[in-house]
Amino acid sequence: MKQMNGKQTPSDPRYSRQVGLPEIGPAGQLLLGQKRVLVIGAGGLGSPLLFALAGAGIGRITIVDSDTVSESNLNRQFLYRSADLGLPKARLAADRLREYHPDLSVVSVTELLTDKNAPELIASHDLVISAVDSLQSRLLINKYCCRYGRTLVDGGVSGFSGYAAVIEPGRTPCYHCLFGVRENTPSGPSGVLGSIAGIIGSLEATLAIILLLGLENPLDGEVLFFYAKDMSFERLKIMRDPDCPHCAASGQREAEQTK
Amino acid sequence: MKIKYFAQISEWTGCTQEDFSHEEDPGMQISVRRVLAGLASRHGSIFQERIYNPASGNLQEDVFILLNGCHLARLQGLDTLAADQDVVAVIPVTEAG
Repeated sequence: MKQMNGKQTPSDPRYSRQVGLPEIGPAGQLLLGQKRVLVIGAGGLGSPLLFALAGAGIGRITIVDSDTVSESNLNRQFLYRSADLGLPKARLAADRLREYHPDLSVVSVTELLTDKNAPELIASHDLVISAVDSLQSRLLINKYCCRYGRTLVDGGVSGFSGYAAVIEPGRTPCYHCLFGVRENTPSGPSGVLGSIAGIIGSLEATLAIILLLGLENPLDGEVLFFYAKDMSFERLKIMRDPDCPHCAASGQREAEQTK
Repeated sequence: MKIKYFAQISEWTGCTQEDFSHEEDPGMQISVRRVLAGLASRHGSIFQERIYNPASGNLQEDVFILLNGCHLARLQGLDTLAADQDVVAVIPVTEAG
């Protein structure tokens, strides 16, 4: 029996390789099956991370992407095929995940994330993963994750490099602390090696699963940078901005809650 | 001070990190702008073309700098003073998805 009251069970043989891990076990698998994860962006980062989340048995996955499939996506967005050109990514991604794992609950949102829909979407999930392709989208996601105290896993890629970060509002620096005050915005899409998106997307999924299991945040305020041409991973400690308009208030809320 | 280069920037400079200090008085504070000008002089045209050009006084749009983990724009920009024990991180903008 794979399902019980609409929820997955740890006894599903699909999970046998990970249930055997002491960090997961039947209790951890049950926990993953109860979690709701919001994935914003179903492109290069979203392709590997969505499959990884589905494979891990995350109970409910919501996919937000307003874009349609174009030919230039196909070097890295392996959720899609040549026959999908012009079709909405979020809907296709949800269909592919359901084919891959029919017991999951997968919801697609084909609207652009805005100030109007972001609050409800973010507040109604346990964890948010940013797999978007612009500073503005990341700042919007960060703003509402800070407001509603939702942990955010973020990643980005360019050329042969990428980064991953975990933002725990009120505890770690947020995206605004790190990048939000940048004055310059590069124009036009940057080139990227498809497999780099695979690496960073997989890192984002791994971080998300670790956090959903209640394990320690492996980055803890550091950003992890990857550069493929020398196969280096480097971490950099980031300082919180005490005057940050987003996470400084989260810190106060957390302090008030722990009084 | 320690200068750290991330991703493709380390390829342009030929190292992942290096030391830099005030020419006359290593204990003296120096603006990040002067640090970058010194590094541009050390590394030559590739640094000037891809990271910072002392003639224009501007950082390239796809590069940003942290001083001890704090974005320069949160401080005094390129006029922020750096001391010998500080760490300057030069990082490429990486925002595709």
